[in-house]
This record gives sequence, structure tokens and C-alpha cells, in this order.
Amino acid sequence: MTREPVGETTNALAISRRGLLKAGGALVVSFAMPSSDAVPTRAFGEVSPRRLDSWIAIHENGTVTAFTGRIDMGTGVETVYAQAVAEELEVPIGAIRIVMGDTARTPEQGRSTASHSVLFNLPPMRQAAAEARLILFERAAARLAVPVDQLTVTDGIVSVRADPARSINYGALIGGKRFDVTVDTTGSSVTTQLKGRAKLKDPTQFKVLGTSTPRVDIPAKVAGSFTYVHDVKLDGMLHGVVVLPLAIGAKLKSVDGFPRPIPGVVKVVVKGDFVGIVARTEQAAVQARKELKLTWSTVEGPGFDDILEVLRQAPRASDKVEFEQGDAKSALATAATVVENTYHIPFNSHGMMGPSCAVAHWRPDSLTIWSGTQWPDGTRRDVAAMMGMAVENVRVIWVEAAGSYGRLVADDAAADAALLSKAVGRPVRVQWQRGDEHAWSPVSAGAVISARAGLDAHGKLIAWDYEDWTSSHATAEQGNLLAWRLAGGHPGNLRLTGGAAKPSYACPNVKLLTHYSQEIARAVYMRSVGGLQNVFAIESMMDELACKAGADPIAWRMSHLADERMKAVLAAVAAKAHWQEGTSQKLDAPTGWVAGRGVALMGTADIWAYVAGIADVEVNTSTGEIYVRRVYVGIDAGRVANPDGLRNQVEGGTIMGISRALKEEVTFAGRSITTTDWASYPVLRFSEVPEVLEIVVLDTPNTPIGVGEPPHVLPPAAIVNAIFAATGVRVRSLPLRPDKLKKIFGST
Amino acid sequence: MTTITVNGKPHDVKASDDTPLLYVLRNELGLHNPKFGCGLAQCGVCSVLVDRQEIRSCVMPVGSLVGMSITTLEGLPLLWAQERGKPAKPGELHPIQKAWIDGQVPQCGYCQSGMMIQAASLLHQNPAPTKQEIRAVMDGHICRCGTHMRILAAVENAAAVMREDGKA
Repeated sequence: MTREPVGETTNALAISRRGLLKAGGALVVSFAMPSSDAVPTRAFGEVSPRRLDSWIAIHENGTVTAFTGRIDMGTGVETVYAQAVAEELEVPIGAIRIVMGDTARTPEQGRSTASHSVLFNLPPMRQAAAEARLILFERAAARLAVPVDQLTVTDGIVSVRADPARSINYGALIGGKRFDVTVDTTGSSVTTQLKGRAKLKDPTQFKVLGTSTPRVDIPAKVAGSFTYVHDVKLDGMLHGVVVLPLAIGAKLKSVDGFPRPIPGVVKVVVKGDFVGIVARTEQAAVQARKELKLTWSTVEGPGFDDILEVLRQAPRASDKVEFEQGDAKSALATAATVVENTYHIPFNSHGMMGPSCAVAHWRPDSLTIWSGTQWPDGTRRDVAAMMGMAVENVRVIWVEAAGSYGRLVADDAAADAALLSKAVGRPVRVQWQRGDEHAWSPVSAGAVISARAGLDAHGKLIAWDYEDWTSSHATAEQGNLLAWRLAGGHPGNLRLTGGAAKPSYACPNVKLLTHYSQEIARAVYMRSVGGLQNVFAIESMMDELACKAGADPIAWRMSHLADERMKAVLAAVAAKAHWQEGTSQKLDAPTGWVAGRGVALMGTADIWAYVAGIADVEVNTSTGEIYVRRVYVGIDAGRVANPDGLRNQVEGGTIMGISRALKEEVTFAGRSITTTDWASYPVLRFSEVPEVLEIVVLDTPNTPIGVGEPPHVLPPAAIVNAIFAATGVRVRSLPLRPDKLKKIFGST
Repeated sequence: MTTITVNGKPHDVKASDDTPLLYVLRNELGLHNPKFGCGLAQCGVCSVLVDRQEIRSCVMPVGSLVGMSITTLEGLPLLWAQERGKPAKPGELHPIQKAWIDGQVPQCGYCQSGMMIQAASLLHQNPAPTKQEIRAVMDGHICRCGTHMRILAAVENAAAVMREDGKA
């Protein structure tokens, strides 16, 4: 299975008025789009989720195309969608193609974020396939003159159970036509669900879902035939770069030109504080960017050098009580033991391996954008508003980008490309440079978290008072594309997110308060929103409390967990790691090093998997170096759609979590980000990844829930808890860099 | 006009000699697997082989490569066939690529072309690397999705297959 060639492929539903197609719902046409193409007033058709044809097409040759507004940013959900269709329709995986995230061809399904692709999108993908199967069975029943219940299907061939020679295939049953039936929907955007006549398969009967079906995208990615958004090439396409401000809030005072002529430069485009350059070749664009002279204003006001202090002192957008029960303050006053600590978690960068890239083709009446966006319909609305165009005249075609972990919920390059394409009247490809991406992609907001917890005389947790100073992780989510912000007129986004929303543990008196600052730097959630930050604080605190209570860290957590599934996951990972119960979790270590083991969990799931992790960490107290040698992760994500895909996500999330724990920190000088490349913003390397990463999966008969983010939140807390077990020293700020740890160990 | 040899074939280059090889490969030759990642030789997504040795095409001036043999991911199957003195079969992949598929290595996959190129460079020089040697050689490549464990296993598996097949 391969994805279709990139182009302005369209389908009958969207453009039947153009007369390109015969009546044939499944018919897909691809056409090269010369840049001079003069299409009359061009409105891209809306794709109604209430039409079965919007979700699935069966072709005369028996192949199947399924459509979804969601995208796969590299986690493998495309394969799960194909499994869903194969399962309900009984066709081979190889006969299925998934078209994702094309606003003119796929139903609008909002953001592909929050690890909810399987939870929310498996049901409608299955329902669409089941509806198709039911309709085809009814047709087959008529053609073969037997009742539907006497039919069976294998690999798209419907036959009579008692007489398999009497058969007809799906392709013949659909006959090159579309279904032309409506289905009911509930929800909207990300929660869109289909309600039809067909009954879904009982999960105990699954043959494809639940198996480690190989990823459908991997052969092309490995053989080298895969097309990323960075590889999209249109006739007459020019290359664009952006020249971004030197500091947050800096205003463009003047563009002072090139000190020497740069061959190939087509145009320097200025709109407010937005500056872009269009050139005939990529190398000319990059060279021009290096040489263009500009003057930016100096930004007034205090610098962000101590960014977490800035976060604490910044004017507030909201002091939000996220959760409250009982009276935490009174309970703390009566507690036998009170533990109070403050945790510092730095700002981080998503650090896409491929910087932001998009291609736009502006024409007087329409705009088509090829984008790696995680939110095709959101990018469409944002770019349309920025350009002053009607939404129906803009089409966003998703093409896979580098893994984005939340960053591409707002595709900045799409806006850049749109502005530049309009300025030159040709298709323009924009690719950010590495410094652009590191300095100007929306940040993952840091946090300062103070927690006070109280134990009664028996060592039971009776009070939990939790305060988090952070900024919203969603300012860039919409209404805040960088070019729009620089050009002026962007509405911004006021949604506040990133605080801890509910307690992980049983405790009668709880208050969770988040002090959301006004925006400091444009931000967008990174793999768990604030989950990693909050779990670092919560699980560090729980470890300190276990210590005060004189209890084994796992046994103590168990005694405060109410959810049986969470308990089972914790028990499973403890067994996997051969956890030795005891108050000391010191391990043997190589000469000159000490070692310990630590645990962390996240049990606030309703859309996210239950996870618990154990890390074995070696510490050199004289150099401050640490090595995370072994990691064990337990997970219950309900019914597993693809076991190997799940494991891949657990592995990846864990390694990225170790990276954020050990190395990652966005730093500022004044109002400028100074971590502008991989040298100044180091991430985990091969020599630093664990020797052992073992995963225990509890495949439980529950609704499938998200796995992309939960395992990622565990490493920071598990590692500092292991450092304590090894050294007796509590480290309460990230990242765990050797220079910092050396100082901490040296002062204790 | 400069002529370079890529995946066994000569190509005339339109770009000036100081142009980084990466832009020539991607935009003139249509070879998309070397990716742009940083332009600073820091991340390894642009890696190609020059005379069997991994280099960073984002900083390598195209004019410095005349007379050398450049291999991109697209050329790995041919390289493997040549190494064994056999004709390349259409559609057949290099053992490294097969190991990558068998191990279901990639997630987003953006870094993986560079990873496979680096593995080819390593296994050409050292057909039986230890785990520590593999880690050391791969250390200059960044993967953000966290596929490291699978990459390390795939390199070992490919090495074993190549040692076997190389004898055949």
C-alpha cells in the first residue's frame, strides 16, 4: 500500500460540477496543476460527515479508499485505521488506502492531538466500513437470491455459506458507483461519531484489530519512495524563507537590502513585521536570508533570562481552581507530618527533525496549501482569516511532516507560504531554517509547582494543596500563526490548558490551583500538555511522602490508589522489574558510581492509558553524570489495536521523556531564545539511551485509550526518585544536567 | 559545469560549486531521501555516502565531490549488489533496509534515511561491530521520535545478514 501521489487530487463529491468525472463515487482523479491554470470561481466543496461516501469508497477493482480528517504524524495510526476498515469490511490490508486530512476530500475531524486518534476515530472508521459491508451484503443477497444471513465474505468476495461457488465480489457489487446513502452523526470535529444500521463486530471476533499488523507507511519510508511535505514540488514553484525577529516583541524598523546582489532572488516581501524572501532556488533563498540587512527595534522591559521567575511574576490570565474537595488548608494545619516542596520544570522545544515546511499555491480566487498540520481544518480557517479569504476558497492538503508532538497543531509555514505565494503569484515552498524552528516554534511552557501535603499519625495522606505557575500551553493553537501575529490582526487564543485537572491519588482534602500567566512566549502543548511537568512534581512528592511514612515507594502508592486498573499496572511493572520491597531502593553500581531505582505513575486516565514506570539509574556524584540503564514501563490502554505499534509509542515516548529529563531546556537572553540549534538544545543520543527498555502491556477488555503521550510523562519523576534512592539527595528541578547535579551533590 | 556521480550515474549540476550537495540532490536530481534538518551538520538527516563514507550533504559543497561516488538511500540496493558482484534486482532492498522493515523501526521516519546511510558506512568498515561500537558511530544522528532501541537492534540484525549473504 502506498499513499497516492501528491497533487490536487480530488474526488467526485468535491468537484463533480467541474465535469471531470463520470458518476462514480469511488473515482479518483489526479491532475497536474499548471500554475497558469485559470479555474473559474473556485470554492472547495464541503465534505459532509453525514454521507457514507465521505468516509469510504469501494472501487470497481475491489480496492478501498477510506477518508478521515485526522492525520498520522508518524505514530502509526494510519495503519490502525486500515486495520479498522479491513476488520469490518473483510478486505486485505493491502487493498486499503487511507486518505487523511484533505479539507476538500475528507470529513472535518479537528485536531489530531491528545493521543485520542484511536479512542475517537476507530469507531467511525469501523462504522463506515461496517455500513459499506451491510449495503454490499444486501445487494449480494438480492443478486444471489439468498437471505443476508446466509452470506459470508472473505477478502472482499461475498459468497453463499452453503454453496461457496455462488459468489460475487465487492467491486462488482458497487459497480463503479457511490453509495449515496446518509448516516447519522453525533458529536462534531474531533468527537464525530457515525450512527448507522450496521452492527459493529464483537471485539472477541477480531482478526485484524489486535494484531501487530505491520505499519503501512514503513516500506515506502525505508525504500525511499515516501513523500513528505518537504518533498512536495509543483510546476513553477519558487522557494521561500522567512526572516524572523531577533527578539519576542521586536518591531521591524527597516529593511536595508542586500550588501551585494544575490542571484536568483525574486522578491523580498514585507507585511508589518513579517519578512519573507522568495527566490528561484532553495540555496538562493537561504543565502539571501543570511545576507539581508534589517533593523529591529530593541524590546523594552525585563529580560526572560530567569524565565521561571518571569513566569511566577508575570501578570495572570487566570488563577484557576482546577479541582477542590474537602479543605486542604485546614487538614494541613492538623496533619502530623507536612511536606512542602517546589519544583522547577523548564520550557522545552518540540524540536521537529524537519523544520516547518509548507507549499502554497495562491490564485486570485483560491488558495491551496500542502501542509504537515495536525489540524487541517484549523489551519484552513486560520490562513483564510489571515488572508482575508472565504474559508471555502481555501483548501489544505495534509502531507506528512517530521514528527511534531503537538507543534504542528498550528502550521506556521502554511501562513508564510500563503503570504509569499500571493506576493509573487506563483506556488511557493517555505522551509524554516533550524534556528527559526528552535527560536520561533511555539514553546512547551515550563512550570513552577509548589505542593504541600499532609500525613496523619498513621502515615495516611490527608491533605494535598497544589499550586502551579505556568502559562497556557495553547496560545498558538489557533488565531496565532506566527506570520499572522507579525503581520498584525491575529485574534490570539485564550484557551487555558496545562494545569493538573484532577488528583491521581485518594485523599480527602485536595486543592489544585493553576496560576496561568499571560503569554510570555507563544506556546503549544508538547506530548502530554502539562502532563510531564505535573507528574514530575506529583510523583516526586509522593516519593518524599512515602519516605516520611517509612514505607516502600510502591506499597505506599498502592495504599493510596483507588483505581483497580492503575493498581494492576503498577503491580505488573513492579513484577517485571523484580522490585524488591523496602524503604531503600539502592542498587549495586559500577566502581565510582552509585545506583538506585525509582518509580512513577500516572493514573488520572479517562482518555489516556494507565501507566507506571521504573527506572534504574546510575549516578556519579563527583561528576554529576547519570545513566539511565534500565527502564520498565507498564501500560493498560484497554483493548490494544496494534500491539507492536503500542510498544513503539511506549519506547519512543519513554526515550523522549528521558531526553527531557536529562537534557532539554529552552533558555533566553533578554527576550530572545538562545537555544537555536542542536548544540545549544541537546537531546538524548544513542550513547545515552538505556540498555534495557522493557514493556509490560495489560491488554484489557476496555475501550481503547491513548498511548502516544502517557508513557512520555514518567521518566523525569522516576529518574529523580532513583537518584534519591542512590544518593539520598532530592533533585527538584529539570533538566538533570551534570553541571547542575554536581553542584547539588557537592553541597549536600 | 560540474558533473557528479550519484547512485552510479553521472549528473551535470546547474548550481554553483559552493552549493551544498543536499540542495542539488533534492532539487536538481529529485533525490528526496537526504532531508534538510539543520544545515549545520548537527543532526544527520541529510547524510549520504561519499566513497562509502558517511558525510553531511547539507554542508558539503557540490564542487568538492567531482570524481567521487555519492550514494543516497535510493542507491543502497545497487551498492549492495555491486559489493557482492551481482546485478541489482529491481525492487530488492539492501539488508539494512530489510532489517529496518523487519524491525518496524521508523515512526515519522524523517531521520531514518540518514540512519540507514550511517549504518551502511559503519558496516562497510566494520562488518561485526559491538553494541558499544554501534552506539558510538550512531551517536552523531538525532531521532526525535525515540526509535533508538529499534535502530540499534536493526543494525545488529543487518550486520548478521550481511556477513552471511556476503559469503554467498
